[in-house]
Amino acid sequence: MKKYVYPSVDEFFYEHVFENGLKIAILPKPGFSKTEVNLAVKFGSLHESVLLKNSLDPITFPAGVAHFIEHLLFESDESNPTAAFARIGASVNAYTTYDRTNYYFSTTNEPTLGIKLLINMVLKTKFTKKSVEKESKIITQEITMYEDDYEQLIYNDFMQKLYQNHPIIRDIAGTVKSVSETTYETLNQVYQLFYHPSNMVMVIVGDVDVEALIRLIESELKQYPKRPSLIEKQLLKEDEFILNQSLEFKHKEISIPMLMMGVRLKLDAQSSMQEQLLDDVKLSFLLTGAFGKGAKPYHDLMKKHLINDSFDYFESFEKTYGHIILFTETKKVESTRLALTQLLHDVINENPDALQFSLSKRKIIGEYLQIFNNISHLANSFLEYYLKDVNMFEFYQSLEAISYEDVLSIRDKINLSTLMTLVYLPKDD
Amino acid sequence: MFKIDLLPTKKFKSTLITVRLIAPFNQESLNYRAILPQVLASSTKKYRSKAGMTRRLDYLYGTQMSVFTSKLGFESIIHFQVQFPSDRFLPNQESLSEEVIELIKQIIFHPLTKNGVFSKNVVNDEIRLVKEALEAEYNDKGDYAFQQFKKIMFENELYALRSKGDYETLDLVTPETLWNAYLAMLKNDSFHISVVGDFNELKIKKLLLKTFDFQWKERPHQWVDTETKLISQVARVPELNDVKQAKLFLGFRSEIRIDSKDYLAMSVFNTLFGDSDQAKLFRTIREEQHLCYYVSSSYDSNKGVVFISMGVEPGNEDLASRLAIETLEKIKSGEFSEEDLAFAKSFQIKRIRQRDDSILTLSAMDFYFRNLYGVSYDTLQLVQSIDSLSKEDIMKCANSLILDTYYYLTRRND
Repeated sequence: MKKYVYPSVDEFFYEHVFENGLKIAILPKPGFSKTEVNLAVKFGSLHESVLLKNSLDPITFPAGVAHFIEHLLFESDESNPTAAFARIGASVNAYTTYDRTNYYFSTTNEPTLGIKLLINMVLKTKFTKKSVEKESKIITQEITMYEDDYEQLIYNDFMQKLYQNHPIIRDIAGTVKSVSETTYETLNQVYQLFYHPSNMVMVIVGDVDVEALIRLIESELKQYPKRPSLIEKQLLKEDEFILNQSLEFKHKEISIPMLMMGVRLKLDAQSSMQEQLLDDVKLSFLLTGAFGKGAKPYHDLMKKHLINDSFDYFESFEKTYGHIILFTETKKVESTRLALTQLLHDVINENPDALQFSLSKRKIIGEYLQIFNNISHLANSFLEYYLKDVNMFEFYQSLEAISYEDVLSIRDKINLSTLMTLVYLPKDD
Repeated sequence: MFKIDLLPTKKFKSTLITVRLIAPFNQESLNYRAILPQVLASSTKKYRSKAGMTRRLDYLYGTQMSVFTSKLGFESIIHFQVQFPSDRFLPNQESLSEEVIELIKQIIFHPLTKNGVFSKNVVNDEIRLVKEALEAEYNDKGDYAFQQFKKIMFENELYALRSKGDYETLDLVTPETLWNAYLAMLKNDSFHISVVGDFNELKIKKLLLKTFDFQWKERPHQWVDTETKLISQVARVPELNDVKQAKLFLGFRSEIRIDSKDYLAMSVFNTLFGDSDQAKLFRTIREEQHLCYYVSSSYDSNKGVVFISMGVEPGNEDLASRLAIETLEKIKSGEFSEEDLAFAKSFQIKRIRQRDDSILTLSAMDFYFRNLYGVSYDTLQLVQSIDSLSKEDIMKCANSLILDTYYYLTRRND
């Protein structure tokens, strides 16, 4: 067990790797009532295509299998896992993202019984054909719920234009069709492939007795020995750029038009995870100078009534995909589209605001401190980095070194010739 | 005179200051009170634009400010809420509290003016933003359906009016009338300020007393909305639209509100009925019948209403709503186990205990308890009261529910 101490924020954590490969981090938070325990599997919607060992043909599973399994683990033959947690005053839940399925529970009681339940729920489950049938119906309702929210819908629609083959174009929950085509056999195979201890990490945050917990988990894990991975590699590679800019209009049952624009980023296969994450922050500093609420260009758009409070921008800069997306509802679609296009050009061709850069650096210090105010927020932030083998504390402390020149040079990563625009218009327009 | 509530704790790495300006909620003032905090926080004499304001906050190490108006019972509350990092974690141990308090003072007392009133551009900009946000609710059919449902169930009641603003009449707000509303706020509102986090009590108190010294009026508040109606027949209102999933809402009335001795029992009843993964609605409609992904109930204790919300496949609306009513009937007649009750109690106790872990909920609870219940916030006391609730207490709450409105938004058959 290793201890890491960070005096500047008055925090510390412990790390341990068990014999079966499961890695754990414990962040003690004395004085807090709630404890949250996360068990994250490195399996999300991006990992649904694989090449197995001793096999030549790659397999692509139906879209949404990672999310389907998340639902199934709450369906056990013998017992109802959520009731078992409720019996000890804990509540359990889970979510699936592009790169992970995270199972977690929180309690204001002692967490040891819950930890046992969580480990066994994730590692021992045997689901049945009946439970597959049942969850298929429930997931279908989950998907149709999202389909009635047009902001969600335009995003999914847009991603399928920005990329051609990369699995990021798959909806995390899949489609009504892919879910109905997902069989019991497929789910079992997928479960066996991804749900083994060395493909998981555990993060515990709360006012806990660290040594006792490590001993408890160690003994609980004895029944789950290390298993070699059957996966040769994940089929996850960079998508080719689509180099003709496109503009598309669709009519939908909405009241105010929605506009989504985006560009792809040039990736660097050689960079480390740490460097990759740093580039993401540099890019966010660059974008804040144009699209942030303190930026002059943002306020010019507001003054001209081109955007409103729905305006949002975000960047995603990962190993195999990267993009910048702008979104707004607007009553002036054409002027807004032209203004945002111009602004993206300005971001690349003009020097970013130096004052805004220095403000962004002050702001991120406050954001870092905020993370520690909330148990769930802390657990999730820490986990986000931990899954990439990056230490969140050291990462934030390294941000101090980002220079204005770093922000200047990150502009080279933006590929403007990939610009895509998608507009949803009200039906009677 | 004004109220200062201080709650020092070293648990968090920041401090939260909340200013609340409280006045009676009514139709005449709601648009003004919706726009006012937005206009005040957008610019001041010193920070003359929204950009300048944001830059000031960024400079103060990403201090977060949120301003909004809410409705509680018959009261309208304008909030200015500012959260900033504690001195001891900042690079040079800078102290932000004085600068943050100065900023709040600028916002409340020194707005940017033109010809003695607010600037027309600033006012119109904020009106546009509120109107477009209200219009866009239609883009998420779940939100839209909930608003439609409330309009129908609370027709002609104050409860149907929204503190966010009224779309139809927002354009009537002018710089002059808004300025008058601002003066009325300073003259008539109660002023409460609360500070939670890591600070020096004596120092902060002295500073607040000096900064906000003003002729504020304190008066008794009406935190409970008692307006109700006699129900002769349940309103069943379907609405057709281009949706993939039907959105159902059932609205019930109850006489049990926060000022009732059965209030805690009612909150436990709601958890047992529809507000946890062991709740009866969830177990029946999702887990046994597989009709939906989400189904839940919520209880607004300031009004005395319980809402059920769920999304089902079009065609299943009546089946799902019948199951929901049957589920309630079972609780009314005591058809639930001791374990069901124990689950609901333990969920509720967990919720109460973990409130203390969030600076925002801690601040809100502290305010509610001091003002709505007139006692200081005591977790232990609450937990004990919940523990002692019996099955009969829950049945009594279930029996207080009267179905008022059954609304659903569903697919057009074309």
